[in-house]
Amino acid sequence: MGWEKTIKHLSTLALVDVDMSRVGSLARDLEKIVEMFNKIAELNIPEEVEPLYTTFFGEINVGEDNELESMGIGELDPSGKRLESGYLKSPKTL
Amino acid sequence: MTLPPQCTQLSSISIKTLRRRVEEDPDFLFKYIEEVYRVIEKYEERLRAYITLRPMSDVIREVENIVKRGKLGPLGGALVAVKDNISTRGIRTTCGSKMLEDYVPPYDATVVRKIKESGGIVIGKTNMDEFAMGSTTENSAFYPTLNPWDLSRVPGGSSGGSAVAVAACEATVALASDTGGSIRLPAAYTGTVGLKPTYGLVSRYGLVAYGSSLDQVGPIGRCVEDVAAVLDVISGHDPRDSTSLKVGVGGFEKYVVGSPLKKYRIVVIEEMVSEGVDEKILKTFNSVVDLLSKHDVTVEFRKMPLLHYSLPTYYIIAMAEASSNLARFDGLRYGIRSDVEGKLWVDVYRKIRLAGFGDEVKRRILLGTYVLSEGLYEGYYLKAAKVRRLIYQEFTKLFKDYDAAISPTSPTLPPRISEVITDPIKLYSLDIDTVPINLAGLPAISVPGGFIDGLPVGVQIFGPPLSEGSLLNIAKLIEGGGCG
Amino acid sequence: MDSEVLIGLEVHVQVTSLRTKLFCRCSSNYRGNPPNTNVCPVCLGLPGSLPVLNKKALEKAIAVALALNSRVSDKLVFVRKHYFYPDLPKNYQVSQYDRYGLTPIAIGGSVAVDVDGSSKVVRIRRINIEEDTGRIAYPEKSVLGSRYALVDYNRAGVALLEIVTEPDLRTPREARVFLEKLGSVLEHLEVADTSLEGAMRADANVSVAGGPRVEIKNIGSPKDLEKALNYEIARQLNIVKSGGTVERETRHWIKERGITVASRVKELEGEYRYFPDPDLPPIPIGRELVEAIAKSLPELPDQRARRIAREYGIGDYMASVLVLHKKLCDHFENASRVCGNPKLVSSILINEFLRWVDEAGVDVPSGITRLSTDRLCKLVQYFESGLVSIKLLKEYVRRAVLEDTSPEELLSKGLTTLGEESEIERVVEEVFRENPKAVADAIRDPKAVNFLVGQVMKKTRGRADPKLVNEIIRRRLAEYGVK
Repeated sequence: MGWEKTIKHLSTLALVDVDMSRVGSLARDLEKIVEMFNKIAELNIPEEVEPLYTTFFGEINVGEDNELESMGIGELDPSGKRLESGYLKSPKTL
Repeated sequence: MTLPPQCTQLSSISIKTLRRRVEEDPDFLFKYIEEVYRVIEKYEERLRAYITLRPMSDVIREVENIVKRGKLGPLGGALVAVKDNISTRGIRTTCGSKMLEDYVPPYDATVVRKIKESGGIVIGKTNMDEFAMGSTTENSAFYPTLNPWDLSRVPGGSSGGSAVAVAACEATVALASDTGGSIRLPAAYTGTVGLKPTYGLVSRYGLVAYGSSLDQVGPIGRCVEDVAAVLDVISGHDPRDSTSLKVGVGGFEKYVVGSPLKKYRIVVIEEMVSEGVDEKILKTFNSVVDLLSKHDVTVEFRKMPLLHYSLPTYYIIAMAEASSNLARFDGLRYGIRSDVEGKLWVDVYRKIRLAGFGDEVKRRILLGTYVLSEGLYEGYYLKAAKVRRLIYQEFTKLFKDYDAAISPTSPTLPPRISEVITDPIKLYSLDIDTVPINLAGLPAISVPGGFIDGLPVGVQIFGPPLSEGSLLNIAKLIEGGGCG
Repeated sequence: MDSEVLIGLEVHVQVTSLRTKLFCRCSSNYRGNPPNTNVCPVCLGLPGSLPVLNKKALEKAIAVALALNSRVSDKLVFVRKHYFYPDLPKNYQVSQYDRYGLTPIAIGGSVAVDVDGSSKVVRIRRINIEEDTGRIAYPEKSVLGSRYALVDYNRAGVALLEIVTEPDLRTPREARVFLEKLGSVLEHLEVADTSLEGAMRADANVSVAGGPRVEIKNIGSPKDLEKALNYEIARQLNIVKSGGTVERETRHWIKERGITVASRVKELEGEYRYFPDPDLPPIPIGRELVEAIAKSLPELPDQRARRIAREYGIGDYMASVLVLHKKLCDHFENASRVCGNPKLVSSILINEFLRWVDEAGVDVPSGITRLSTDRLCKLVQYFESGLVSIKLLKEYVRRAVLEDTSPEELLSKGLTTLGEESEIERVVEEVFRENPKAVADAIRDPKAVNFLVGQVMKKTRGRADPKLVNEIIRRRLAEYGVK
C-alpha cells in the first residue's frame, strides 16, 4: 500500500539506496514496524503535556570564548588520498 | 560467582585482587596479562568477542612504561575491553560497520582517557551490532559473537563483544554503551554484571552516537565490585559534553557490601513480569525477590499501564535520532572512500552509504527519516516525545515511594543464533524491560540472578536518577559471595 | 499596483567579534589560514564528538536582538536542520526553528531606514543562531571545468546570525540601504566587521506582480544586492510582459557576470526534518542577563544620527547617510573635530567620497585610509583659503579614492584654482591697482618686476606658480607698451 513509493522518497531524503529487487520484503518489515509505532496513536494526551526531548536536567555546560588546540585534518588521512594541498577532495558539487 | 568454562582461576581475578597482588609483586601483572592472552588464544577464534585485539607485545610495552613511571592507579593494570563505538586514538573504531572499517580516530573518548589515567589498559575493541543497532550482536558487519555458555546462542546485544570478553575472561572488565538495553541485555545473557548509569553521569564525548538522548557509557564486569570500580573512574563532569552532570567523582565502591545500607523499599512493576515473560525466568526472578525479602527489604507490586507504550515510544525516538546521527557518514572525511574525480557528490554519497551500511541500519535510518518527515512529525516524533514525558513522570512519582524497582532484564533466555534476527518485532521485543529506563534517563544494573538449563538469567534493578549507590548495594545482595 | 515588487531578505552575519567557533574552541578567524588547519573533532563532525556552546555567542545574539527591537526568547533552543552537502561536516546544520513549539533566539523587531530622504520601517520576522558551513573551492579556475571540488572546513562552525525580514522592501535601492543599515547596527554593537569578505551574506526573496517568490542566493554585499535585485526584477517583469509565467525557484547570483541563474540541482526544499538537538538541551535565558546587556548597549545608528545632526549642525538626511557606515561616521566625527567645518566634511564624504568608493568597488575602510583625516583636513583648508574651487575639490576626492593621491601632490602639480590663469590674472589686476607706483617703476625698469611678483605671491600665500605669475605680469606690462 504505497510503501514502495514511500521507501523511494525516504531513500532520496536520507541518501540510503535500497536494493530494489528486495524492496518488497523491506516494505513488509517497515510496515510491520510502523504498525508497532502506531500503537501510540491510541493514547489521548492532554494538551498541556510538554514533549520531553532529554532527561538531562542539570546545568548545561557552556564554553568560554578562548582558543584551545586545533588539530588539523592530516591525521584523518594516513594514506594521503583524501587531501590535496590541505584541501579535502570532494566529488563535483555542480 | 559462576564462570563459563573458558575462564581459569588466574584469568578471572577481580580488579581489587589484581591491584593487591601487583602491589606485592609487580611481575604478577605480566603473569596475569599472559594468562588472559592464553585464554584469548584458545577461545577467541570461536567466540569472536573482539573486532580489534591489540597484540600482547604492545600491551606489555605499555604496561612496562606505566610500571616504570611507578603508579598503576586504582585500576591496577586491569585489561579493559572497549566497545568499538567508543573512540580510541590510534586504534581503529569501526562501530561494527563496513562504513568505518579503517577509521582510526585522532582522539580518545573522555571515558578512555579516564581509564588510561587510572591505570587501565585498553586490550582491544569489542564486537557489536552495527552502530549499536541490535540486541544480539548478529548485526555486526564482520561476524557474530557467540555466547560462552552455549555456543549455539547469541550473547545479546548490542554490546555482545564486551560482555563476552568479560564473561569468558578475555578481559578484566569492559566499557560498553546502552541506548535501550545494550549493556544490560548482554550482561544478562552472559552472566555478567552491567550497569547503565543515570543520563549525564558518564561523559558521552567520544561515544559514537546512536540515540543521543538515550545513550550512556557504562561498565560490564564479572562482579558488582569491578563494575563499581570502573564506574568510580569513568563517572564525573566533563566540560566537553553539554549533557554532563556537575557531580562529584567516584565513591561507588563503598556501596558494594553484603548487607543492606538502608531499609530498602523495592517495587515490582506488574507489567514487567506478566505478559510475554518466560515461565522459567519468572521462577528465578521470584527466588531473587524471596532472597531480598530475607535481607529485610520490602518488596511491593505496582501497576504502570503506560509501559505498554514504551517500545514504540523508544523506537520512534531512537530511530529519529539515529537517522540524524548517521547522516555524517558519507565517506568524504573518514570511513570507506570512493574515487571522487568526475563524479557528482550525490552519486558518491549514495554509493558509499549503500555499501557502508547494513540492512538493519538502513531500516532504522529510513524509519527515522519517516517519523521526522513533514506531515508525520507530529503524529510520531512529537507524540512519542510527549509519551516519553508521561513515562518519565510516572517513574518520578513511583520513586517518591520506593528506593528502587526490580524486574527480569530480559523476558527470555538468550535466543539461538538466527532465531530472532529475521523478525524485527521479535528482535525489538527483547528490549521490552530495558527501554523504559533509557526513556526516563534512569540508572539500572543487570546482575546474575540464577541459572536455567545452564544458561544465566539476569535481574534488573533500577532507581531514581543518581541512585547508582543503592543499585550496587542491592545488586551485591543478590550476587552474594566473593569476587575472584 | 499590479507590478508591485515584494522583497524579503535572509541575512547571514558571521559573529566576527568572537575569538572561537560556536560549538568548539577552534579559532574563528580563518581568513588567510591554510585550509583545514583550525579544525578539531567537533567542527569536523568526527564520530563521537559533541558540541558545547560558546556562551559569548549567546550574549552577542541577545545584543543584536535588542538593537533590532526584537523579543528575546526565554530559552535558547537548538535544532538540527538536515541536508547533505560536502561543505556540511555532519550533514546537518545546528540551527533554530519556529514550529512545533520550538523557538528562535528572538522574534519580531524592526529597522528604520531612510531612502533618498523618505523614511520607512522594515519589520524583522526572526533571528536565528546557527553554525556556518565550510567552503568549497575548485582546482581549476572554472567550476564546470573541474573534475572534483576542494573543501576547506576552517569556516565550518563559525557562529552565524540569520536575520530574516518580512517582505517589506519595495525597491532594490531600499534593500541595499536596509542591508547597509543592518551592517552598521552590527558594527556599532561590535558584533561583526561586515567589511570582511563573506562576513555578511544575503539571500533575497523577490516577487513581482503577485507572482511566485524567487529566492536568490549567494549575494555578498549591499551593492551586489541592489544589482542582483535590479537584474532579477527586470528578468521577472520581462517574462510577465511577454505573457509567460515566472517559476517558483531558487537562483544564484553570479557576481562576475552580473546575472542570476537557476540552481541546476533541485534541492529537496522543505524536507529538512528539523528536530531539537539532543546534544544541546535548552538553555534558560535569564531576564537579568538580557537587562544587563540592554543596559550596556552602545550608541546605535539612529541615536547617533540624532546626536551628530545636533552636535555638528548637519542635516538629518546627511546624518542618516553617515551612520549607514560606522567607520565613515567615525571618520566624519574625527575629521570634523580636527579640521572643523563639519558641513563641508559631511558633504565631501557623502556626495563625493561614497560615490567614488562605489564606482571604484573600493570598500569604505580602504577608501577611508586613502582619504585620511589628514588629507580631508588639507582639502578643507585649501577650499577655505580659495586654493581649490568646489569643482577642483571633487577632483581631489576622486583622485584620492581612486589613485591614492595626496592633496599636496595634486597641488604641487598645479591642480589649484591659482593654477588657472584667470585666477592669477585677477590677483595681478588687484596688485596693479594697489601699487600704481611699482607698476610705473616696472614699466621703466624690468628688474622692478620682481616686486610685483612678490606682491602676487604674498596675496596667494606663496601658492601660485612664480613662473606663471612672472609671465602674466610681463604680458600685462606689455599691454602698457613695455618690452
